[in-house]
Amino acid sequence: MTNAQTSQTVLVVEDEVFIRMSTVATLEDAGYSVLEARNSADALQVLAGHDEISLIVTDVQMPGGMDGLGLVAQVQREHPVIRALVVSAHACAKEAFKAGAAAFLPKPFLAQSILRAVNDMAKAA
Amino acid sequence: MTILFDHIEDVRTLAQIIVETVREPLLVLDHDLKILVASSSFHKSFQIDAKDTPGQLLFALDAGAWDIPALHTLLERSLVDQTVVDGFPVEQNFPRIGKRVFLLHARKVLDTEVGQPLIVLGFEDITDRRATEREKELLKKQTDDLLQQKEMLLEEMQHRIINSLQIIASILMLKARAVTSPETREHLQDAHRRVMSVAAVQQHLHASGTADVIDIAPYLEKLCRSLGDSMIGENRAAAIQVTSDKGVMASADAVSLGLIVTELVINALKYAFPDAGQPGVVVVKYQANGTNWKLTVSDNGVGRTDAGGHSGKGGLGTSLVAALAHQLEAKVETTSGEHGMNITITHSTFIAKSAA
Repeated sequence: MTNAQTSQTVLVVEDEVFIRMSTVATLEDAGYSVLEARNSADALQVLAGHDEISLIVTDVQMPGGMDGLGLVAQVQREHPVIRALVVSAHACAKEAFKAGAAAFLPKPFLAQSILRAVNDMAKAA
Repeated sequence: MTILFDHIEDVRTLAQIIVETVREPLLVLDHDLKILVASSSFHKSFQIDAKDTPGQLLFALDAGAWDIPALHTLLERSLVDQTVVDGFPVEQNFPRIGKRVFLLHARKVLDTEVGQPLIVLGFEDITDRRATEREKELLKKQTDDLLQQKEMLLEEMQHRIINSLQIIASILMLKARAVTSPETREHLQDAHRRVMSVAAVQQHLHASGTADVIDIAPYLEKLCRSLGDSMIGENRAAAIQVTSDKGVMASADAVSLGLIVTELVINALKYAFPDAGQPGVVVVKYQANGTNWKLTVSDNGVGRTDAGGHSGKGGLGTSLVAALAHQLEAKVETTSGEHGMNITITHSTFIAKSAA
């Protein structure tokens, strides 16, 4: 990975604390700047205050009014340059791409798999 | 009994006999749609006195229960042209017999004596049939709803299992990062791989939409790709090759088989190639013959060493493989030499297809 790619800022949206922590750790180890959110509402707040975010990694099923697919759809409308990776234990790749996701990764995933998916998005960004 | 009809009166008598004996309710109407003849079964079915029907207008009968606009139109058209009424449905509340469903059948005949058309009107009572059909429809809908509910519950359960396994794997990974002892880190990473091996079965069950059987070939390929991703870094020349017969296995057995593969592949990648630059290959081969199968995990590494843990000293990995094989009613055979190690897990009395 080039410095230009890993200097990008990623927003990780995941309600399960351990999954969020390990994802954040994996991406930080690879050199990314990482921000976190527990659900879609949190994520929208973080996005509003951080123009530097260029990538999002989001779960689908989370507490709160809006799920991860709704989040992706809204982000695509309001910030079309941001690329989103959807991760889910539900087989919902089609729905994810329909919502505007750039990539889909089924759970359970390895640290290497999520890093590879984020790297691919970063390259394309 | 044979009856000869020489006269028109005989034909009328026959018609009267038919109307009287037919089991389904039957009416003969004149061109004004008044009742000329009503069958006994009509009187019985509608609980109408026989003396009330002759000359009665159909639509005035039974307190106007038959006064149905669509039926008006149909019968009047039948009188004018050759319109055949076949299975006209009538669902009506009748004063004496309650709610009934009938199919009406009507045909125009010509009364040669008076030169006016008549209508023969038959009634097919389908109330019970319709009730049974509705009951069946209701049962089918309830069954469909239950099946849908079951699928949703299964989907939710699988989602929770996968998410829980991801949480456990994340905790193990975070722990592995936090500890300072390399040995402890390695144990935690192995535990993480074992969890991911079990998770791979769940993922396959989820993706295939089934709850009980796994397609072995894609499962082993994905499992080994995942093991390779987690254990073979960019600086290692090792590779994992998978060859597998087509076949399915109960999910519980597939979990055990996957854990065996995980242990043996971890073991091979850890110990068979002490020189990171050595182009090592681990081959995972699954052969199936009916319900019997044979799994072989081999490598082209250094073979069993006195110092190493490559299944040489009966470590945890070896014990796990033995226990899992026992659970699968399979036996473990190990051979080792200067060209590497070969471990075979044979279920029952496996005989290769070509040798069978």
